[in-house]
Amino acid sequence: MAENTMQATASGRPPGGLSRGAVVRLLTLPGTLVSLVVLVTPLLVALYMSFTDWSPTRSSFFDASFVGFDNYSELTIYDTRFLYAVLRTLCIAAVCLGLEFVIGLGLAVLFLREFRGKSLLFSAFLSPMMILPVVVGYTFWMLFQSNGPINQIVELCFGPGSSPEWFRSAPLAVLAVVITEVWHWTPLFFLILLSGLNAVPENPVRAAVILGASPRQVFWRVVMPMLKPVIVVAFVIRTMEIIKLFDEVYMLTRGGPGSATETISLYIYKLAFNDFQLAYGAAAAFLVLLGCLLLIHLLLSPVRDQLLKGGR
Amino acid sequence: MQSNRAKIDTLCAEYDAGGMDRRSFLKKMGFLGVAAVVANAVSLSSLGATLAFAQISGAEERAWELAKVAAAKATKKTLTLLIPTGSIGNMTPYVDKWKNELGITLEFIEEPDEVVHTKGMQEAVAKTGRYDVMMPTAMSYPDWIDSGVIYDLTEWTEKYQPDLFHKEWGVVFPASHHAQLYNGRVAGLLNDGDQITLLCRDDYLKNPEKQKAFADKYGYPLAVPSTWAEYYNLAEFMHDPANKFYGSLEYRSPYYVKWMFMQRLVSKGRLYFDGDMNPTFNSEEGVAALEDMLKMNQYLHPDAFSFTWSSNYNAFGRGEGFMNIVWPSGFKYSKAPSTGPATTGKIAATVMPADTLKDGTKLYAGLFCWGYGYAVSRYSANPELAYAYAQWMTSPTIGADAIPYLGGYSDPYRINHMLKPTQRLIDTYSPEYLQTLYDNMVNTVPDFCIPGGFEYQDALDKQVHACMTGDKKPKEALDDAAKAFERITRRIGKDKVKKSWLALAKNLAEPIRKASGADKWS
Repeated sequence: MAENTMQATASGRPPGGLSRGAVVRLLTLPGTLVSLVVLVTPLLVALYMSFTDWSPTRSSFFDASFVGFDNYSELTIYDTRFLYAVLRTLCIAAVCLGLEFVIGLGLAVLFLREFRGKSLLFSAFLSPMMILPVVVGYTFWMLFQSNGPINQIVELCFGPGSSPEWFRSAPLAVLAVVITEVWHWTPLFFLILLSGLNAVPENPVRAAVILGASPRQVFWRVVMPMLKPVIVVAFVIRTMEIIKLFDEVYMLTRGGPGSATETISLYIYKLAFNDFQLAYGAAAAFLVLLGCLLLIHLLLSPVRDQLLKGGR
Repeated sequence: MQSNRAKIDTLCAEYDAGGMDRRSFLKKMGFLGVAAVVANAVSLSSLGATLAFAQISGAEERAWELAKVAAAKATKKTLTLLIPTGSIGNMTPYVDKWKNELGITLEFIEEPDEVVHTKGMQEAVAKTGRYDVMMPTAMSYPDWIDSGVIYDLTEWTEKYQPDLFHKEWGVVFPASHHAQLYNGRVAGLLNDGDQITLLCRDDYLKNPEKQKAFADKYGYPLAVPSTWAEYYNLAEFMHDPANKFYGSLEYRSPYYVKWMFMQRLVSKGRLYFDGDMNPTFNSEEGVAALEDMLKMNQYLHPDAFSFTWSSNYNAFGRGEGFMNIVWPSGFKYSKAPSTGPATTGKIAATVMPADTLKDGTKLYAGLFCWGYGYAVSRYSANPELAYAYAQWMTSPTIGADAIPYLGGYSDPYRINHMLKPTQRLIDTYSPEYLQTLYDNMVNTVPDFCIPGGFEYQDALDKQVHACMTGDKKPKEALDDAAKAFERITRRIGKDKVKKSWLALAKNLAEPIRKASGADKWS
């Protein structure tokens, strides 16, 4: 009897029960099923849809015709509006990310020092990213009105008639979007970078100082290389968000003037919910997904090994 | 009277042919003369008016009888209407009547006008049965019929006779066909005569000093413009931004700007497609239209790029512009003291300006855009009752009663609304403006009332707006729009769209058909 018990224990099988591995698989089965249903299945359905001509207002899903890569070729070869939306989104993203990084880093460096009211200011600087995107969009829409406060200030500084029509000009409309987006999300860069700066080891910094390095040299040659993974992560997080830019643009400009500020999300929204071209919209979404994956892969390449090694 | 006239003609012909002697001819003519006098007296008397009203009110009465029967059978004692924001004022006066006399509660769900179409398409997908009656613009009918979200009303109209095409109180042609039919079938019942017309400040036109100055400068008398060139001159002359008074309040805002272009385009004799669905607006006429608009921008209201119809009407009512291109509700609002404090009693209206064609002739063409109507949801629990409501509200009599209410923007659309108006219609619009509406409507060209209409419209709007903001040159903008049109046509199906387009083009005023070449399409 003792021998039987020892044998069962040694093999990992409870007396008269399932093996440990079987138990583990059984316990994870519900989660796996949920993941399959909630995540994988819709993805596969959408992927299949993107190879059809289905529109819910014309036929049932299973009656849709299989069109192969027609949707994808239409998007990449003929649909200049989509291509311009992609290009426009990337340009807006590049400008916003650049500004957010510079401003966020500057703020983070400032907050390394102690000063009166620091904690209060810290909360204040973080608050923009806590505001709902539609509220931010609407607020800035009001601010940028021709009779709004921004124009009043401009005229106060530069005289009557100097205030611009923000939403009438394509460059100014884009600028308004950039200003809104930077104001809204710079706090995220600030928070991440401040955390990174606080985590920089003191010894290398102290050693550099002892060896006679100037503050500028310490920052760029010692601190920044150590901050690189954090910076990359911040860029990755924001890039994933900004590629999906919708709320602020929708509230500010609706993609106008013309389609000068129409982002990828706005265009796909139009395809899917205004024109009910769900299959075509799905194809566009998958193209964007592939593009995002490639972009994130490229962004992570400088620090991928470091991040993975750190995890181990 | 018609019968008497026919008899007189017949009698004269017989006499001319030598079929009767002079005595017999005079005797019979005497009888007919007496009959004519009696008929005329009757028609002008109370009895005559009663008889005439009995005829014109037939559509209303038939609808009401249907409503009573349907209401009695209805298990759901509510009719839910999806309507565009701002339109409710033409419908609320009848809520109590339907509640008290039929036991039916009218529930209104308002959505922004640019959202109504999408809501209908969403209903096509979701099939919730939330709406019984839906009130879209005419452009929705092709897509809504194709998606199955609304009923084809043809059988009901044949049975209950809303008199859509009656020669005296039917809907004015060609809107009767553009704004209600899809491929010749009745998709909805028009209840809003949304053509655009031109308003001018009459007090400025009658100002002696301005009359002299204008004549001295331009060499012809100051008057409402009959051509787009005259329109430009007037805007230039009257523009006074220092005093916050602008030459014109026409639109440059997204969603509205395309109609300014389309109006100018059809004035130049060009439509949107040819008979084979090739875009035709990216032609020299289209480029010229955009160039005209660009040149005009300097004389517009500073809010031109952000105007909606309501802010535009308010600005004009406050006296901020000399001219305005408006839907008829704009005249209604400008005339009413409560909404047009600076313009009441000071409006001169005219049909849309003409343009000179290559052969030297002037072409008058208008634009019928928006044009709300009632459609019956296929998922309604009470479709007959919903149809009865639609026919009743759009009948010659109830329609004439509903239109003058200021709280909505329903506009005249039937012949009797314009040529035989009620006193309330006269008080609201003026006889002169109602005549102008008729004269303009008979020459209107429709919006994109074809499958995919909203996609075509949006593609054009985006490019026209890009041109107005200086983002693109006219030719580039129109070529880009044309490419988008070709893609839309290809995706929807050329044959499908062509069939619908040819049905529209077949029902245009002859001068427009001739100028555009539509008279040769098949």
